[in-house]
Amino acid sequence: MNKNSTPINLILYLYNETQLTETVLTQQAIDCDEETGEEFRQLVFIKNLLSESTITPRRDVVDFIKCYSQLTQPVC
Amino acid sequence: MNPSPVSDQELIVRYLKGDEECFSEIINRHERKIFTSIYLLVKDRDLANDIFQDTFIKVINTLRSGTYNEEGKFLSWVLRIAHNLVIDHFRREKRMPTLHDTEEYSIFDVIGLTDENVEDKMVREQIHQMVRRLVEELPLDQREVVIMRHYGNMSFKEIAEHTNVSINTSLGRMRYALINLRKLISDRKLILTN
Repeated sequence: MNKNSTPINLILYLYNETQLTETVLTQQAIDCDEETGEEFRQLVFIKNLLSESTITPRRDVVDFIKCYSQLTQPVC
Repeated sequence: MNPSPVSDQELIVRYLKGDEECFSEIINRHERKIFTSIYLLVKDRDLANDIFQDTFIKVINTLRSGTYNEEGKFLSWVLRIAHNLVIDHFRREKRMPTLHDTEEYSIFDVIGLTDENVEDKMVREQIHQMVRRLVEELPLDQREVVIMRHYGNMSFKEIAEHTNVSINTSLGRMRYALINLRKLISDRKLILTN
């Protein structure tokens, strides 16, 4: 792991929470340090899998919520 | 150039003025992340549906009461409500979810996806199902951070405040969660491609 980038920085960078200086240093570490670059690629891979692996609620549940909203709409 | 999507805050303002379509848009926009978050915490689809419903009933009531003041943070606010309802549920049940016992992974123990073909959609859904099951196996503290950061768009600072730990602890939990997921995939010899 490059000294300019800690594992914590990689997580912050992965989720776009780094400040400008950290961003530059972390990107540099990813580009120049093989170990850091590999860890980052693995993290991105898992992050993308998580993003794809979502599920939806039952339609009748969503319909019930919308119905509740309409029925409780305040009378102007 | 595509027009910018209407912000959650704008949709809420219009909804409170009586435009029900805006509320439908909010649900459509966030239902996957919110429902997946609840499901990954309770590990039961029927219970997740119940809590999803209760969450939005509470959201509607709070919006209508005029006490909502989380401008620009709608998703993380809803997720906090959902998270609290999950905790309430397990308090009532006097138990918290624990690690799953090792389950049989049958034919999905080894999935190779090196060539894209017409059956990919089905296989991909099976992979996603597998990933959710792997997330379910994470220790609760790691699972919570994944859910709050990844699906709830909460910052690590907000997660730290919500869970009463330091930012470094929440960051460390996230890192271990992602590493553990990678390890689980490797241990089960899952070959996954994006």
